[in-house]
Amino acid sequence: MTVPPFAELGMFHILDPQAWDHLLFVAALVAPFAPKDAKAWFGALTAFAVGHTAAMASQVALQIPLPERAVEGAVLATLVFTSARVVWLKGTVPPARSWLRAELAVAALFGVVHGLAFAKDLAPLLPSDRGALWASWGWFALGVEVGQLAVVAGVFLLRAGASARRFSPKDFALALGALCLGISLHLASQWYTG
Amino acid sequence: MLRTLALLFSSFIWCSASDHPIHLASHELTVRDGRTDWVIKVFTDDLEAAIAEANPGVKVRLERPEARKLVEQYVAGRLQVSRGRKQLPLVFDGLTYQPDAVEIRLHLATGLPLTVTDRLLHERFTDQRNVYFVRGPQGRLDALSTPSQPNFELRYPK
Repeated sequence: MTVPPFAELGMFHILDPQAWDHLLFVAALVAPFAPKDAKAWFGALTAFAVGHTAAMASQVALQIPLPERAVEGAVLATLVFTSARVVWLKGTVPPARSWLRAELAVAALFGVVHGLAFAKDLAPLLPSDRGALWASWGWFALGVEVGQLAVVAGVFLLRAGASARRFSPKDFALALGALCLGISLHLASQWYTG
Repeated sequence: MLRTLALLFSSFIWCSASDHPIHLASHELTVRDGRTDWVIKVFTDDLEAAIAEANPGVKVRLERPEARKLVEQYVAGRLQVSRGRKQLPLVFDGLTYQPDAVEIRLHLATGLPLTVTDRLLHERFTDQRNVYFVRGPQGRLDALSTPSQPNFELRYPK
């Protein structure tokens, strides 16, 4: 069967050892949460997933030409914003009510930006036959979701390791947020000068 | 923990933001009336680099008309189709240039079954995947060519 290579591509688009933008975004998104805060982190992740899946589907269907550099810059802006926010809040979890309002909308909006970036990388090679096109898109989107869940699992494992070494959850989230912010600023400088 | 974070932090120097390399080519085959129309979509920069590597000293710009011959030679050298022991002629019909991806059009004066040996871009990337979508009167088929498995058969099940 041929289609699963697209799932693999989707997964390694997130877990790409050469390009960390999507990976760091997901890490920063869930950094302040413990696994038990499932409602909050799963809500944010779902909103992000809905955003990028819808955006990717629209872009695959409509193929609207978008300025590549602007899309890349927008992805980096979402990364800088999300990790800076973790640092700004010193690794604390925002009140639960706010997650149900503005923050879910922001996660979905950021998902749209990332979805446009996924589509930009994949769309040129998708087949023109509608059935094959949507099957390829579906497998790719599924792969992206698996990649995201792998990042979340990695963050929670790191968190457990930090906790075993007597790092407080707040310190762990702050350190991870700062790490993501440092890298994202480096990536943004690469993008700016590139 | 701090050492781990320091190690992670130092490793970011090698990463980049936007360059997500996808090593993929897609092949769409439409079989009807004893003929197979074949469309290959491949990233422009990948194909330019592969042709340049195969033709040292030649500056490859796929948007130029003279690139057609180079593409034809490259494809003919790396994509073979046969039935049994008989090699089948794959006719080059043309190419459409886009900055992102090039569309190469070919045809065969026959339908399925076919034995395909596809080594397009396999010399460039060890993780290259050439994905096949086949549509014909008997339904759809798909297949995959990778550097470790470049040969496959396109045949409707009996």
